[in-house]
Amino acid sequence: MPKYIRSPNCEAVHLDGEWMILHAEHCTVTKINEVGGFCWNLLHQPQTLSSLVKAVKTNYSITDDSSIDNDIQTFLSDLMNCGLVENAS
Amino acid sequence: MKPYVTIIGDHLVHITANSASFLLFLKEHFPPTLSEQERKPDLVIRIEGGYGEKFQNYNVQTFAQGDIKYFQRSDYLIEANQDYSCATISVHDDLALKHALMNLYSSFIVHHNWGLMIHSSCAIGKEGLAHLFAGHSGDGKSTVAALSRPRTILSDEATLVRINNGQPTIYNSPFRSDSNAMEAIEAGPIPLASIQILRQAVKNHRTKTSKADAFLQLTDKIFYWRHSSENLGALFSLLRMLIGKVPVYELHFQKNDSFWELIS
Repeated sequence: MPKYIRSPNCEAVHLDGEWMILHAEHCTVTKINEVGGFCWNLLHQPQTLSSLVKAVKTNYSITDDSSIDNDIQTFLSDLMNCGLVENAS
Repeated sequence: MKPYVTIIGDHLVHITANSASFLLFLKEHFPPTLSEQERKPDLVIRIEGGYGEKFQNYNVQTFAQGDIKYFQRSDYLIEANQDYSCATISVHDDLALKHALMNLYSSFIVHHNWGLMIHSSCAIGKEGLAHLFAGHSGDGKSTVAALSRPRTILSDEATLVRINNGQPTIYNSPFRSDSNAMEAIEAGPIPLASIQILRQAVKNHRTKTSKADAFLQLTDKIFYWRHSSENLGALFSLLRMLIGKVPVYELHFQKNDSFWELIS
């Protein structure tokens, strides 16, 4: 299963309950929500989709499976497209 | 050659030029100072004419050779030392000179963590505090400045915001479009009370933005020509400090001075 990790030159900023990810090299600012911020904190080490899903379910006491897998997959794809996350070898 | 001496922000600037027309431009737009003769200049600039061709577009190329940083546009070339305190600017005409000086000074103040130059106008409210109106070209910066008279206008195009020294303060800006810095020559640094993001509307209203949205809205309104050798950490850090200390609003405004009732 692929692993993901933060790209270098990124810095997260927590402003009044919202998260911004600043990419100093690409000159981009990306706003993410609270759950995104939780995942971002975990991504300082390599994570798989399933490890993130498990952590989110545990942290937010989510018992039904609903759409969490898809949401986090989309989140990771979006961050990859923005150059904020990369594959961890 | 005796330099032309001016103060931009609180920086003493010595400028020499090889053309009388450039000196005239400086005298028209950059208030001279006579009281700082003994102080060591913060910024030393040499201006040379005869460079390049007329303005084509805003694209600026950056590169470095040895210890020299270069910014190049069709109508200007800046050669600056590592901390931007000493530079030679070669220009085609007055417009190129104005833009090159903005380019150099914005790089200087970010590099030294002094503050930011923001795409905005700024005026002093009746309580004696500064209020900034940020927007892109066409959003109404100059209109707001004109509608704000007889309040003192500190800028109508590019506002100088000092951020590294407690409460952010505004300095009289020489980088203007429709007004002149000479009119605010007596205005010292003025504490900044609010920032407005401009939206033209049929009805006035003002809503406070979240800090995250303020960050997003202001990021692309900072004058900054990033040199290829630098990252944006210092700029982001200054913007965070600014947003942490000054409230940011979206201002929907009619084209008359009634919007000031919402501000000061």
